[in-house]
Amino acid sequence: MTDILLQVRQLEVVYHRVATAVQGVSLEVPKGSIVALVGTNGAGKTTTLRAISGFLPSEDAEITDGDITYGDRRINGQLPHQMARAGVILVPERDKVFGTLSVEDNLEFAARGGGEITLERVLGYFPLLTQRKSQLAGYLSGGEKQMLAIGMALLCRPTLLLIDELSLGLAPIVIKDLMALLHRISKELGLTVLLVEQNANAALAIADFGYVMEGGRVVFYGKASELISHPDVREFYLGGAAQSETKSYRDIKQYRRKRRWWG
Amino acid sequence: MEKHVSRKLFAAAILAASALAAPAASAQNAYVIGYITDLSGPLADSYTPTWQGFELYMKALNDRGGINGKKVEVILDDDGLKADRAVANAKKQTERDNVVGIFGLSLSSTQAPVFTEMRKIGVPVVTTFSGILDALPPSKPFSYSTGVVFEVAGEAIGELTKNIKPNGKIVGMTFDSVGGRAALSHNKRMAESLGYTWDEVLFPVTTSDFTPFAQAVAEKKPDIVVGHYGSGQNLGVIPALRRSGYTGPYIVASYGVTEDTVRQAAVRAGNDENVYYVTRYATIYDNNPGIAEVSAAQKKYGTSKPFSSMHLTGWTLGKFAETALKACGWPCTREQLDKVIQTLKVDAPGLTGGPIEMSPQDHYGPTYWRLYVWNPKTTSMEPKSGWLKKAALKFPLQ
Amino acid sequence: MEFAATIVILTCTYALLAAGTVILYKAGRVVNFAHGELAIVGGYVFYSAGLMSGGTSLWFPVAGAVVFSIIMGMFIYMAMMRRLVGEPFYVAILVTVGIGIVLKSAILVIWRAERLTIDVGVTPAIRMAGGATLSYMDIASVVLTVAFFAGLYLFFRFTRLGVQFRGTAENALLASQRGVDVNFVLSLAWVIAILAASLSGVLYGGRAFLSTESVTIGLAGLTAALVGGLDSLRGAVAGAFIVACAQYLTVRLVDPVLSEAVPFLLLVIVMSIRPWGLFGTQEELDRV
Repeated sequence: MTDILLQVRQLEVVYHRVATAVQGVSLEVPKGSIVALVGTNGAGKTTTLRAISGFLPSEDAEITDGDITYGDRRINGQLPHQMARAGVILVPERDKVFGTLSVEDNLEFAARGGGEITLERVLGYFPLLTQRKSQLAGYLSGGEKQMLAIGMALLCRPTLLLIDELSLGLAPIVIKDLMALLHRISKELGLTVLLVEQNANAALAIADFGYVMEGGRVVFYGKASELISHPDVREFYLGGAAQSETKSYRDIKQYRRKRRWWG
Repeated sequence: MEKHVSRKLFAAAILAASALAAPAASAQNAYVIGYITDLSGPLADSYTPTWQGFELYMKALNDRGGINGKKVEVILDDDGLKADRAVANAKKQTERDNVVGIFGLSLSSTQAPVFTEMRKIGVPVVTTFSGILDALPPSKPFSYSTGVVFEVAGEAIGELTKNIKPNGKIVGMTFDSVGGRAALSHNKRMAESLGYTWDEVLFPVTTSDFTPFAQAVAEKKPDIVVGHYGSGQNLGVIPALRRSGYTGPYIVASYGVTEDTVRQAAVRAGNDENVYYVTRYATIYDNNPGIAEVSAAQKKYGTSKPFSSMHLTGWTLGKFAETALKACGWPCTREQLDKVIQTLKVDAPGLTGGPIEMSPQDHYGPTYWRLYVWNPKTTSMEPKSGWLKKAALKFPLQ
Repeated sequence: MEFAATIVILTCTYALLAAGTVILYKAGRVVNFAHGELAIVGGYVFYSAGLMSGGTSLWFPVAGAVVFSIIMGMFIYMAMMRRLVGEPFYVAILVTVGIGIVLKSAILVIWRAERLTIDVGVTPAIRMAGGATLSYMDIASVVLTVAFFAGLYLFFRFTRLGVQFRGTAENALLASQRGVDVNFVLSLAWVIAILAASLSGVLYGGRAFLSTESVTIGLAGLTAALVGGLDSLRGAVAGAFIVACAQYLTVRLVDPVLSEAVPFLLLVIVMSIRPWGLFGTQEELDRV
């Protein structure tokens, strides 16, 4: 039996006391694996991730139901810095680096002493950052920002790395390289990764397991390889139908209706 | 918020004070008078010791058995130097506490409306400091003053300057206020008539860093500088003047400025020997039986503020109140009290240069002024002149 | 000579206040209207601590003011400001106005609104041509202000905590996600700001006096911060210098009575031409 590092059960998150963002979401992240959480924009992926990494009081978000278990601890309602210190590190979708600080200061900001992940090792993965060391992070390109953000996250000595939209706004070639690098880092450092992606193709390519979310719920899950070949998933999330002939609008509607709800 | 805190505090103080002063007194069996002043506002430094002097006198009076066998009950209210509060207090005292007269009061801004309101219902009001001219001839009914009136003080200071230097350039300083300007203009009139040249520097009322103003004064190369304002300004101005290079004579006009303030300012200015003080009431350093009596009462009953000329001012007002109530008889009505005050003569030997004398046309009367100099060696004040008698000015002036 | 000295010393007083205002704004987007009150109460605490120790050593009053700043900073942030995150910005401003009123009452209740002067090093140290003098306190105020700003620069530039401070000011959520206790950093911002204010209050108490009226220096400090740009420490110094010059020159060249109004006139002018201040960032306007 696999060791489960993170378990989310029946999660419900409400924003501003009125807006339910996710409902009845359950997922498991086995230790040492890469798990992809895919789905369209607004499906509740980011909220799920944010609930795991903790909300600031100012965000006025609340976990109203369900449990999040990390290791053997229930971590509902922890503050972000408490989760960060416990090894749960999130690379957010936007504002992932401190734009007004230099690359060096960004890395220094995150660094926690000790451990096997040193600054040298991180720069070894992202040699480009060495050249940009004294530049303000705000002036980096999208890909460089993503590298810096992952580098910062690594320096926080994560056990569980949560990445929100690694691919967003990046060129396909950059995405491919970054995904490969992430896979390599994860295996070399023994990191567990929960990856949230709109680009399901790229994510499932490196993932061990996958979850598909829609409208605040998980609608499919399984091994990444199985999901990739699942006809519904292919049609809705991977940008291509299993069959070559195109379907009419009416058929698609029917598919939607037939879909099973999990949780 | 601020009002509530201080009001509660002083309400407690009144309770304590009345419990001490008149344990057996009740509204039916005592003279009830009101006292309103600034105990928490910007001029609390000056008015608190004045009230304390009045309170000392009343405590001693009640311990002696009161007047005509009746105790005197004083209703104290704090106006925080705010006109609306002063008027509200006066209305409360006349309507609820049923006082026969009101004493004390702070600056012109609070006096003017209280004078006006009380005149309507015929309650005599006797103030110490007076920024307005209601008490001066032609005096308005029910309005009296036993204290410092800026216009008179300005003239008196102008005249007493002769005892320092017979001629030269005087620079007057004040903050930008009606009273300050009045004092300055009368000082100027007198100084110019005595052959001095005159210049002046005004600053905003809320100033607390006086360095730039002091430099402006020093640049005018004065022979004498006069400051027409309260304690705080002197505390700031004197050291600032010395820092700016002016080391000549400086005259403190005693508008509620305590001896302790002069001492502090002189110490800050480097044990200054050139600080003068013009006052209508004596200083605590004078050695006479009148001062000794107040000093003894102060030692007996205690005051939170250091013993000062302001206590003498309040004490004299207390004596004024006693004399008036005694003449008023029992029971004493407001009309009767006003009637006797109109011709009241109160002698306060040792505390003033001469008696306080009211007349139906003049509710201020002649006043007596004296020049003192601070002596850092003995840390006390020495008289530099005799008592100068000034008749109440008649307004409008020509 | 003495006019230059006066302007420099006045600049120091205002710059310390403006720096605190800027730090609080940068860290928590709060405009603190209680800064003058905090400064003056800091001065009062310094005085009282000095009195308690018998006025023999400087350590006791300094420690008193530092302890006051730490307790006050932690308290204001943890008990009040922290709970207001997410509320409209004016709520926090109104709370600071309230804090100011409470502090003013504290001056009345605890110190009986007594005018106090801090007589430390008031003896002349330098005698200038024309007889004007500068006291040790005057010199100390310049030295301490320069030291404060240098310390602040080194702290923000070279220490890890300083870097975390800057990061938190930019993006509190990300800072928290990187393991920084945002509450600690923001409390620290309040502590540093109040520390600077207290220093300013002590220097002011040495030069002028402490009273309930002297809290108006807070307005001059705020004006300096606004003129310089609310999010710029450099701007705080520049703004303080401009306000000090304007005030001083009005006294000497125009009419002394106008000197209180000048900072506000200046504020109106700068706000209408360059609302984000001389050194401020334009985008900051959208956040307020």
